[in-house]
Amino acid sequence: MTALKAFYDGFTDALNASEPDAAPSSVAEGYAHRFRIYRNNVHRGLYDALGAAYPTVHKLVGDGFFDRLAQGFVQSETTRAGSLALYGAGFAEFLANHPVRESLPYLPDIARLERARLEVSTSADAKPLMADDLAGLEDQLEAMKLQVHPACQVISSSYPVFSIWNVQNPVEGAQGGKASIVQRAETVLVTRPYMQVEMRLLSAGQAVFFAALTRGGLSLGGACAEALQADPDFDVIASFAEFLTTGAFDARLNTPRGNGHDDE
Amino acid sequence: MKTLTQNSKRSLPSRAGVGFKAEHAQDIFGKAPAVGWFEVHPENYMVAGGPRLAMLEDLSAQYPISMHGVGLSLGGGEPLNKSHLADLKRLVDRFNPAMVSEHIAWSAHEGLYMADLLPTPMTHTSLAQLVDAINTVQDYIGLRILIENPTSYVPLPQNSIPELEFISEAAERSGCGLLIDVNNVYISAHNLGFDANAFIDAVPGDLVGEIHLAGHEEDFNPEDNVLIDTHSRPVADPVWDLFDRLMARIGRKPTLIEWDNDVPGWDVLAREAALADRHLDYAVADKFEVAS
Repeated sequence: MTALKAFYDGFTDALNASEPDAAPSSVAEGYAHRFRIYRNNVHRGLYDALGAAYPTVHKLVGDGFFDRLAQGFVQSETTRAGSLALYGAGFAEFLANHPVRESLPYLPDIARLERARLEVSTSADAKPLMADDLAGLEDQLEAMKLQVHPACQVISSSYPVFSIWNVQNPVEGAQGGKASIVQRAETVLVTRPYMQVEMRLLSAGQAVFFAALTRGGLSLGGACAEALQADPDFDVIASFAEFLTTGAFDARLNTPRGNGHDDE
Repeated sequence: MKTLTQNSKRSLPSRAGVGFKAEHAQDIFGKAPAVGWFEVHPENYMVAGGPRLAMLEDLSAQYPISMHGVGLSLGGGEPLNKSHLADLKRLVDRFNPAMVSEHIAWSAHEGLYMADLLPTPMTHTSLAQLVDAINTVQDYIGLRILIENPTSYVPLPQNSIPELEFISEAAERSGCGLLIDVNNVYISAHNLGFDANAFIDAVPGDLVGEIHLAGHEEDFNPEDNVLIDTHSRPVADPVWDLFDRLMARIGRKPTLIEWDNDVPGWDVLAREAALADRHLDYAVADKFEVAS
């Protein structure tokens, strides 16, 4: 091993060591205590980046406990990209396997929701499908298959993650105290119309409709049938309009005669 | 020495610029302040789309932009991360920055990025590795870059080349320029015990493309007289003095006010930039006794 390689290895090992006083042998005698400055910068930087990506998880557990979670997460990582813009993939899974789950069982799903918000916020730009794009295609709607917009995700949880998130992040200037949270399963649509991340709570029928259209690859007609089966009160027209308004679908359509948006 | 293209369409004005913060977006886009230019860290924009890139699009339409990297790990002694480099090139191609710069520090080792600027040993071997890394970047993005002098906290016994000689030699061999962080010079001189004035006086002016200024803090440990590069306060008086001394000798350069922690409101930042502009004006007039 070359002297330089030994230097980088030793420095890295000491930065990642679990003992807070660890220092590499490559630092001049009498200065080992200053190694703490680097160690603090590295760990603080990563914990803060994780906190910025998961602000609601941070609020729910508080500063001190979040740092402990972050420390565990950071130590579990074997690779880490040079850009922290999308830092923290895998944090929900980490939480799902952490004892914190026993006291805050919904925490991993809150993390999934926050990760979806970050990914939606940074996904590729694409023109969303608007009602106008479908003008003149009415006779083909039933057979039409839609493509989900790159900045659109759905998070389903057996916990009320949408309600919990909203209580933790009240809209500025909104009236009223804390809403009570009903224990129930919630499915959330996360989109980015006009460059702003938005979340909508989906009804059972809407959730089935959206899943059938996207993951199931069904036509609009087929998805409607599934949604109505799951929820007899499902309002096709209103739901479809809501999905269009919120930018859930990509404007690129695969219709027999195209619509001019192909091959952008 | 190789000849490399400077960015042909734009250049950084020899005035004060500031680091762009999203929390100042309303002030910047609403008031269109008379700031010379803005710096961004490309790493924050290594995403596919969305509001962050849209904001940078707006900013670069109105101001010259400098892309100051923190994640290439030029001094890491290992091959550069190709996907990071490709992400940087995508941003450079799209936003046409007037300047691209990086640190001589390292921040990644064997695939693990450490989110800090770590000290590069200064030896003949590490110098050759640094030159290779700079050449790789410049060839790949097709632009000359600047490299920044480090903040030092600990002396490394293996060092065999003095810092200024190390960075100047790297610049001479690779054709890159120097970004002199005057606050780093002050901090490193204090922490390692060298003469900051002598360092400043020996900086090769023809290689300098940009200056950084920032605030620092004393460590909370009272038993250790060490300064930390916190970017959390106004520029300290002795740092202004070093800046004046350098500018009076080598002439005005694009000068960045860095303020990354405890970030103040836009007006405070704009005043600090205006102060840097006044120092620059005095420096060229060869009068560097400025009341700051």
